[in-house]
Amino acid sequence: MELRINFSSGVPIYVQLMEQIKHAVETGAVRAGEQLPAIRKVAEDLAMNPNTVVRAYRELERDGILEVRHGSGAYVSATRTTAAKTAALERAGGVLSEALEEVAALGLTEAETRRVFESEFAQGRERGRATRRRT
Amino acid sequence: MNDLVIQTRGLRKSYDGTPALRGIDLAVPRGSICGFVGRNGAGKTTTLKLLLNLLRPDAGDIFLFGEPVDSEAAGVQARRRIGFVTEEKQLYPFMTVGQTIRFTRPFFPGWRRDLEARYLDIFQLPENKPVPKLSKGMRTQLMLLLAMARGAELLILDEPTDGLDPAVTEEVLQALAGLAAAEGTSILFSSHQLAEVEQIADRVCLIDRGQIVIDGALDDLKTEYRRILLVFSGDAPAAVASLEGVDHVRTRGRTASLLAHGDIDATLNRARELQPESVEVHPVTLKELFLDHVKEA
Amino acid sequence: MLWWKAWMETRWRLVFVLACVAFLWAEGPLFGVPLAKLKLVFLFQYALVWAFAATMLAGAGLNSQTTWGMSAGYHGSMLFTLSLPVARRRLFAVRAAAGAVETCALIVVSAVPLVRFFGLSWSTASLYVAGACVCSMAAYAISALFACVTGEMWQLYGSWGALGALGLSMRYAPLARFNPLRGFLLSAYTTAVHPHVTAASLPVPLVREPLQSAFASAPWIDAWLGSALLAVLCCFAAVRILDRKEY
Repeated sequence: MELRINFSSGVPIYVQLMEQIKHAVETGAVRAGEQLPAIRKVAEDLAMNPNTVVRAYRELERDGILEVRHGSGAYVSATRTTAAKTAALERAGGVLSEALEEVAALGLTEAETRRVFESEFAQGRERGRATRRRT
Repeated sequence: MNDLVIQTRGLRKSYDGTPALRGIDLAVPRGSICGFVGRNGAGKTTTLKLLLNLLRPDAGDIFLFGEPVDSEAAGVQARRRIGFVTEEKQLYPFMTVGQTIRFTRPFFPGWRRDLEARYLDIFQLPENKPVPKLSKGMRTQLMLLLAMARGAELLILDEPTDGLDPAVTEEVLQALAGLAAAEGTSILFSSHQLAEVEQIADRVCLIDRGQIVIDGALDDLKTEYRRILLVFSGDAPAAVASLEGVDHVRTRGRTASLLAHGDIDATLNRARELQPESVEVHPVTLKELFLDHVKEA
Repeated sequence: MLWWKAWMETRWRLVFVLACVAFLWAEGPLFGVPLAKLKLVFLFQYALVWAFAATMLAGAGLNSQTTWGMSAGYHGSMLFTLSLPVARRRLFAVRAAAGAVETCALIVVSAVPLVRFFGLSWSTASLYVAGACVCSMAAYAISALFACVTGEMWQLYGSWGALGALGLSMRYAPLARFNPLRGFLLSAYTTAVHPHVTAASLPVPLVREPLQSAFASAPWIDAWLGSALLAVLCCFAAVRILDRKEY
């Protein structure tokens, strides 16, 4: 499992780690029932804070993606169905590639496109959070 | 009181009448890795030296492992459980690497031979080399070995990666992360390398001109702060400077860059009331937080 | 381990002083210096040992140093030493004691020729050694006090200056009575040189006067007591300073 964390990103590191592990599970890089590397190893290999790794593993366990067996480590849950998620990912790929073609037609560079995307994404998160708070 | 491995209250220190620390309240929880950042001369080394009783405070209390450190005896007790790396990383010029290790070992009954062997191997330190012949990187690694192998519960490190090349830096950070993961060691380290702090620390403490201006969990800081960029059709209105919920504002012609803190949505709404042409929200890096907080007059 | 460190810190200086003393000894066989004159050598040899007690002390103020280098301020490794779980007073005490033991050992060693080559009795020789040790400790303590306050360079200048002042004060009888320098000269002169050389025959006037006043009628014991008192006072002052010192 290749893990690449951007430590300076605005995205919290534990979230990045969670996303990457989820991605590895959904694309089949790690299969159901396979053991994930120990927290200590992840922390040491990436030279990152072990508490962050703990948090990521814990949240993934809460989300049902991992199973933590006391004394032996973290294993990918067998209960997750990956088929639906893989299909959703393919569909998202299609939607985004159409959108990117439209945006490219407007004459924006890749960097400009990324900036708009990041901004919309951040605002969308804010709106989503605000909506969740109000309800 | 929860489990704080380091706690200070109202710590003050002056040198020849010039105040270096103006009331420091530090709180480092057990098991955390806390990055201590600030400009040169802000008070980082002074604070670390005070924790180790190398300096005496003019006022204030220091608690290590929950016990007050107010006498030489208390200081000795605390130092049994602490590993320290000094700013200058100087060791004895009349000893070799091996002799320095053999000298330090008996002072710590909890010395870990396995960790000593491990770090000697990882850092590739030659046992018979005299200390003055070591490069700065190797001296730093030797000091780290001495600090980490003693089985300390707390490491206090003054710029542990200062002057090290990227490969050695990564080795050092990996060793620290590994130690924290395996032994639950708490670490307080000062650094100028904000990228490293973001990488390994879970808490950040920013000190500026003798006072702590930011102190919190790194993840929380990243959630609580946002940069809001506003572009106006005319010059940015003066009202931008006094928006509530904004820590720092920088205007240049028609654009205004705001460092917002806390309830970002409310601040966004207030900003929108000023009728900007465009509004962008971005996450904030530690570097931006640092620069915005220390540049204020 | 602190004793071992003190040894590692001071061993080359000890060797250096021994080498200087040995050289003075070798003047006899090397340059055919007559026996009487050789005994005069002892006077200066002991002064050398006395002065170098100050050198070996350089670390007593917890100022670690390089083998020969004279640095201003304290060496960076001081911070490492102070971060060890040992009380400051203990760090100082061990280092100071090690240097004191080395100084006394030097004096004992330099007394051996007195018995072997000049036929002095063991009892007289041991009297010399005891007296010289007590008085050296005064010089040592002065040097330690300077080491607490300044870096190496000024510590040496300061202690030699203080010893010079002690020497000058010999001109005044009341000060001479309790003067460690007198005690030292008495030991050296009486056991090593007398009766072959008299004060009057010494070539250097500066040395003649103090030697003459050294033979004033006051008993030896006063000089030894004076030395002991001076040493104790310096130690007290050093401890007070070290307790408060900031690094």
